[in-house]
Amino acid sequence: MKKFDRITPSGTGDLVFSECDASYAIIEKLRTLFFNFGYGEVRTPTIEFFDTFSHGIGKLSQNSLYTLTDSAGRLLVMRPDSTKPIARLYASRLYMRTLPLRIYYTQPVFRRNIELCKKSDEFQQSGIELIGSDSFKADLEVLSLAVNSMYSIFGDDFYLEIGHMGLLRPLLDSIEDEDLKREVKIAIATKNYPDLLKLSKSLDSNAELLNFIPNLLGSSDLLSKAKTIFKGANNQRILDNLQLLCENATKFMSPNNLIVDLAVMNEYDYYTGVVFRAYIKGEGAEILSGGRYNTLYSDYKLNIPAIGFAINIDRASKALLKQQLYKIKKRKLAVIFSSTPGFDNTTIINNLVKGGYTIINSLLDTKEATLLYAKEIGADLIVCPDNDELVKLK
Amino acid sequence: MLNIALTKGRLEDRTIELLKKAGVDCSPLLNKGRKLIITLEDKYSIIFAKANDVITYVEYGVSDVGVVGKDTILEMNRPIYEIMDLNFGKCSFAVAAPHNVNIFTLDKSTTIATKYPNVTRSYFESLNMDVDIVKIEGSVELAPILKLADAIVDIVETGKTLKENGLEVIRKITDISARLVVNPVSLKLKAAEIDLFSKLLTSSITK
Repeated sequence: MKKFDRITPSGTGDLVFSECDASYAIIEKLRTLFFNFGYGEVRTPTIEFFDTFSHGIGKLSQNSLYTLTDSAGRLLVMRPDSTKPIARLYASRLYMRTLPLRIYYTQPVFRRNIELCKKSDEFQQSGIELIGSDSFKADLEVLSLAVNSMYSIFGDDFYLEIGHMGLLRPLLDSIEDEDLKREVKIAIATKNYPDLLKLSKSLDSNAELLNFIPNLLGSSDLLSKAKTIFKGANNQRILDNLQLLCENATKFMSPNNLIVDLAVMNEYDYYTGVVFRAYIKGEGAEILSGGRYNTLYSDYKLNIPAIGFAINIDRASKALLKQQLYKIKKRKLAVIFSSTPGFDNTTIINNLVKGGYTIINSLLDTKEATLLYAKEIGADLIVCPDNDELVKLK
Repeated sequence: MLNIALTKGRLEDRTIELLKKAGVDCSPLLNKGRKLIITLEDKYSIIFAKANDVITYVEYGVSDVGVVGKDTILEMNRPIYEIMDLNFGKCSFAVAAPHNVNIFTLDKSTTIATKYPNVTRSYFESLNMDVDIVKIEGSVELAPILKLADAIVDIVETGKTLKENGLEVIRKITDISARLVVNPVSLKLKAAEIDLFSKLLTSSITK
């Protein structure tokens, strides 16, 4: 039988040395940021019951889940996202805490992708959840942290897209036919303008708005123009708030890199309010995505609003390495050679470490062999504590 | 620079006609030989590829926009945006069978031959019909003649080929035409360029 003992499954892969360094460097920056703003870290299990992900809002399609069974034959899932497990955690163990509750996490998620599509089935995600506030201040805090996260990884060279689910909601609510509503939703979500045109003919009211949808994507100037399209106090307030969010974001980024999409739509009704994504040039998919989801906790019979975002760490670190933005630390290497076995030259080692050296303990028997080895690995120094000898190689 | 992927053949020719009509200098395309990438007016970098590859290049964002048939879009079903109907390359997806065979009223299990297994599967799923699908790479009309399949799902333009092989359309599935597809990130990061390009095509279509 053919054995697959030297390859990894499609959609997975090893991270080696600098790839790990870049990934952990990003994670550390983000953990510090989230910690400094009062977020507390959690870790949820890699495997959960299928039921956590199969009910209610934000339910994922079955064929994108990695499933297995427990000893009682119950269906388990490898977590496809962290927001639902955190809602489960809140509903079962944290519900008595003072709100708002600020949570952050870094853990891998698992999603089945179709074959040969170059997408990862396993990737690290870091993110935050601000649970229990529906205020604009909460939106502002989370978006600021999203912008700050991107800034700390990429400098000001990133793009931010902002939108709001509330503007098109009345349009969708006005469509009574469920099939038609679903078609409109998908057409808006996939920016299928020919389909929208066709669908607008089968709608009596609001057809005009549907035809206007291709014009709802643009720069932040769009917000003032949109005020003449989206009338009513609620819409005006949404647009004013988006304006403020944009202004706040430009403290960390060029206003030219702001994108406003007032026709955002998600097929699974996950988000309810402000939504945002961050991109960098040359990557065909988003690095960060997030938004407000005020109905997700209703799966647990809780009326608790929440907002959050997640960053695809693997995609971010790959982009950093690809664009050579991540400076691979040039290490100075010192090889230590003792004629007698022992690893106790602590003073010398401590001084070398303080001087910025990485210590390599020679496991060879002779100094001559050590010299050859040191040259081969590109070491800077050989230190022999026996006789305080120091050989510079560079 | 806007990176454009065109489906080789008829769709490529029609798109270039539109660009010419809009006043784009297409002279580098005249003697392109075997070159796979051509730059026009320092604004458009054009590649020529098979339909499925156009979608793949656009999906990964190495091409920002592409011109490809709705048939391939439906069959591949990838996360790309479809922003414009170019109104050429018109035809339709249809179920065709030999005369007097109506697979919709058969009570035995049905076999369908097609080049488009995904389109076929989702169509019959939507009708709650269980069918066996056989993938054929070319001249699908042969399958019912050789009794490998009861019917076929294929793109139909005039129906002439079907008729000559004793088949007729028994159900139309959907209309097909060439579409302008866009990578979701490109639509946002290159919004102005893409808007300009789609307006250019619109102006030529309506001319």
